[in-house]
Amino acid sequence: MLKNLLLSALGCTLLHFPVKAQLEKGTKYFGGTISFDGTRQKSPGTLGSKIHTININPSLQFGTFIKDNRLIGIGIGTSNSITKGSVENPSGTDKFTRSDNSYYLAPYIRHYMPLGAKWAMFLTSSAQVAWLNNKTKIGTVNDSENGFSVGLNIKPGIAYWITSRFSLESDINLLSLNAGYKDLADRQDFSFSSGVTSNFNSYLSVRASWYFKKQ
Amino acid sequence: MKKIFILTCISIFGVSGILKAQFTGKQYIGGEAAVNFNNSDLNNDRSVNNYGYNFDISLGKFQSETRATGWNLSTSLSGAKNFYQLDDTGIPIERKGINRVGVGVGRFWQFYKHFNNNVGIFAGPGVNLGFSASKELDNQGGTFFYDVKRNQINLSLGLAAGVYYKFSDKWWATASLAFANPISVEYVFAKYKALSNIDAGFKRNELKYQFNPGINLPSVGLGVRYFYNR
Repeated sequence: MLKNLLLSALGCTLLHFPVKAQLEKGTKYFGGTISFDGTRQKSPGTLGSKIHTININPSLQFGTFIKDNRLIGIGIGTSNSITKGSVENPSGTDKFTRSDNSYYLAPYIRHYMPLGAKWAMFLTSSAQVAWLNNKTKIGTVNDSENGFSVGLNIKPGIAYWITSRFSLESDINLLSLNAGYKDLADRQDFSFSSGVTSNFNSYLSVRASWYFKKQ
Repeated sequence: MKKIFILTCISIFGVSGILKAQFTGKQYIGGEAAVNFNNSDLNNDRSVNNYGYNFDISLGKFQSETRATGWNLSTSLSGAKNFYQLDDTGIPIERKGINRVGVGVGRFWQFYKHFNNNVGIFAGPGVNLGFSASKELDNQGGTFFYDVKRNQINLSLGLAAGVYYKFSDKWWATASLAFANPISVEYVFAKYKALSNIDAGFKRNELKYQFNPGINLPSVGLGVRYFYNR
């Protein structure tokens, strides 16, 4: 009895991390993040101007573990950049609006490699289809162009569990592989990049994630 | 049985005994410095350069074994020498001197995990208020150059993480590992003055705001700490 007690006490001193990640088959996954930034600029005076710019990038991910440590899911997101301005002229005020929008759908498969009870590394392979839409309005003249882009990318990431259900995750752009094609208003771009060349200082965007174990 | 008992005793009392370091109530003054200097000689007998420094002083106090709070004061300066093609005469004009100075004050909270007697990591949030003044030439994407003077006020909420190494009870070395500035607000007062007389000057006010849950990694800065109340 005492032996068991002591042994379990020993166990407790060695296991400092009570949090256990849930990466079993059937577990549901939900993750999301958002970032935005903006500028409001104003020049007073007779030839003054006012320009407001806002960029907003929300994204959501849903998924199910089809096997232990293997997640299949879909990501959706948008990227919107809106600029609104007015410039004073001797003849009046010129107003303009421009918005660049993209809406994407990205099915993905992700493999987890647990590192202890609180950490895991993962590798995400995803295909991305996006619809692009740019709108401009100068005075009363409207202009709009549509396009699409497709891409494939593979990138690693890390996850840290704060509780057994909630983790913070980040994709690491340092070692990624991207291939993409973009078609927008008479212009076609093809791109390929391997992230080993990307800037080492680039920041890691953090995503909040929840894991719901199947009852 | 006896072995297990001893082992348990060692792991409970031994480990926590080592970690029962006496941080609570200790106060320190810390400094972190970074300097840079670049010089390039162009092939037409002109040399351009840029230089700068950052210097941070922090005053902190351990509230418990694993938590410290404090204030920090930062100053920075940068300068450069460069050539600008201001008109169509073909002769570039040299500009040199200090082009930016900044000061800041901040409050920080740090949470520690001491790995052993000498090494540990810390991380925590901070609030910073900064002011900077800068001077530069800008052509606004066009052909006219403006002398731009900017005064900038910046308020940011951030997170920072670092690692420490304890040389002695009084001296620690620190290195920063990563930082994040998820929330920041900045107000800029700018004055544009045309270099030629053709175009007049103007003023511009700017409000910039940002929410970006990202981490800058790695960000290595080295510093020292001195504990003075002992």
